[in-house]
Amino acid sequence: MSTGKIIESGFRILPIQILVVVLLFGLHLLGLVDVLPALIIAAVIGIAFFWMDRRYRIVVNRLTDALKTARSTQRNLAPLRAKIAEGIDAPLLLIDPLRKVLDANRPARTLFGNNLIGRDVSLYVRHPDILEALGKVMQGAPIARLEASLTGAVERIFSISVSRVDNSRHASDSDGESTEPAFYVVISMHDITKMRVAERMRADFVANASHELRTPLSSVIGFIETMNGPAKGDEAAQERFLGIMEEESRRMVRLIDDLLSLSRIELDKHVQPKSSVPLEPILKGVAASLEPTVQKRHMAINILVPDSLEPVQGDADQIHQMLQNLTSNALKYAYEGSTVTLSAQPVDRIPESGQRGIAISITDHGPGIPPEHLPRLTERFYRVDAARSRKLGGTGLGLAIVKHIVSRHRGHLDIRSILGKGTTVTISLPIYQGPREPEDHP
Amino acid sequence: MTDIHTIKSYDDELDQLRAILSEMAGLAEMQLANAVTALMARDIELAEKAIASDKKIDLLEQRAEEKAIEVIARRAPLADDLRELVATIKISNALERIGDYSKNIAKRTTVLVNTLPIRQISVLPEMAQEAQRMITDVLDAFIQRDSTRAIDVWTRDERIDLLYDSLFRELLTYMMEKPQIITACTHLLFIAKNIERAGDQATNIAEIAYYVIEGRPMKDARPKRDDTAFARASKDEQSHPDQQDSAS
Repeated sequence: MSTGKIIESGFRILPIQILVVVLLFGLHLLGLVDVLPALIIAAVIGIAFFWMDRRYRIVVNRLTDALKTARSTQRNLAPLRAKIAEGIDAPLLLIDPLRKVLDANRPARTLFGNNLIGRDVSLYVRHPDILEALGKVMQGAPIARLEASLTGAVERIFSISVSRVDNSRHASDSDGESTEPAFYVVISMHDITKMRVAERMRADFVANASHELRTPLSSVIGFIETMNGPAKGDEAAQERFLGIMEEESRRMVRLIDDLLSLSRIELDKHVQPKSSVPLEPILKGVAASLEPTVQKRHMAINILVPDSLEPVQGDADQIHQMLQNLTSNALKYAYEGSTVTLSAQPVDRIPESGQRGIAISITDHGPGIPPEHLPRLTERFYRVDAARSRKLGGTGLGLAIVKHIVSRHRGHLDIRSILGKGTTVTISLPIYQGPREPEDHP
Repeated sequence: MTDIHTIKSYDDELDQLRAILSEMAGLAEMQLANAVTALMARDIELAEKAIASDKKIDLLEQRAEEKAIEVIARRAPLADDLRELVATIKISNALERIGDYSKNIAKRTTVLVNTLPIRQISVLPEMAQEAQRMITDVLDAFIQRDSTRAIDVWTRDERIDLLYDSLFRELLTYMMEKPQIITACTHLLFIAKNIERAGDQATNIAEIAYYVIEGRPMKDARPKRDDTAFARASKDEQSHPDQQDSAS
């Protein structure tokens, strides 16, 4: 406290200045120095010190200010702490021993409504497990943890801790006049919905994959039993059965291939491929490899690529696989005899990443996809029409693979569809940036 | 809140009553969720937990009623206040009834676990979730004095009814295909009906809440819908009273 006072009063004239002037005057009196030079030296030194003194005072003032803020900060720590609580991205509730809400931070107010302060907590938090934990803590338990899912427009799962904070001010007031409660209870909630949903999805995936593999397998086993039993010796039937069995086995192989490539792509989804890939040869290659389907359904593939198209940055095999999946989908679902158009053109900005890129569009004329299915198309094993997909030999993984390849390439996938007219799938991939030069290149 | 009383403790007492209702609603929601989860997962322990928790709701209903009567006796409230207190008793009855439905579901589950598993019926959890949401929202509407939300809950009951209709048809086809599962399917039908009734109780609460907040019955303010939907709703309404009487 006293240091502050001295600094605030300031050094108007430094003692050292007076000392120098006195010293020079003393020397002059002793006859060692002449009057004029002595006065000039004294003046110069005086001005120098005066200048230094001003700078010194600026420093001192700054120090004083800092000290002042520090002291006021100490005084205002409580509101600052409240601000921290306000900014924490997890609902927090402060409750008194009568179960009244004393304070709630912003996420808590968003979750439970704005007017909960001052009212009974169970008006807003009504999950029995949370209230039970609260009861335990009220009766003296230091902390209770639980997990609860809250009903709302969307279900949210929280990991919740209910902890007791003893009030020291209550204890120190020995006269019994204290109006402060003996303790507070803090409920803090941590949203773990994403984690739980991911777990659920993983479990679903295993179940789905097994189911998808089982279906063709049980049909194969069925035919083997028939051929060993009732159809024994019936060559015509056996030939037909073998055909079906082959088709089913191939479906299983396709499915396993797709599962493997999906897991491979997922494995290095954080490693962006770096090589330069010209698109035109890939588009032509895709069209050539799908020639049998094109002919079978009397369709045509039209490739529209501008003359000087820059290469994209990526992995040629994966880009080929992705375009092949999409084009073969288009060929499968478009009207018979229609044309599928593959086009590529540069775009200034890929949505989300904002990079310059090339947009590749696959447009078909077909029945289109109902809008309610569009957001879920890239889910594994999601099918708009399960029976039709199976008939056409789909694995239910094609678009999931496309989505993962696109995201590994830091690209963008967009599916637009008009019922009765057709579907356009657009993939934007970043333009090749040239080889990355090492920093210490000679 | 518009009704600020000169005596602060009166508001406190009303809030305490509302807190009991809120707690009941939480228990009822959880009990319904547990009962249906137990059914889907064939989990007897959870079903028994759901059956046991009904006692807590009954106890709270008693407490709410006693408290309301005590306030009425002591304060002799008039107009708005009396209406609110009567509504509290009615709502607590409705919530207790929802608890009974869940208990019934859980009891049927303990029987169903011993029968052959039927195909996964995903409509049931969906119905239950919708009913849970309705219970939460209607209590929020009542506590936060939000009459539009009450109307919103009221209109959502139609969704549960539609789900119930579709499940009814689905189970009927199963039963025709396989007569051995008729017993199990009948239990499932009753379970679905129970959830549907829980939804009806939530709409009842919505009507009570609306009446308390606005001071007039909801019938005058119901949203205008297209004729078919309205015809369906009014048809359902007529069939509600006898369902509630026969339910236990």
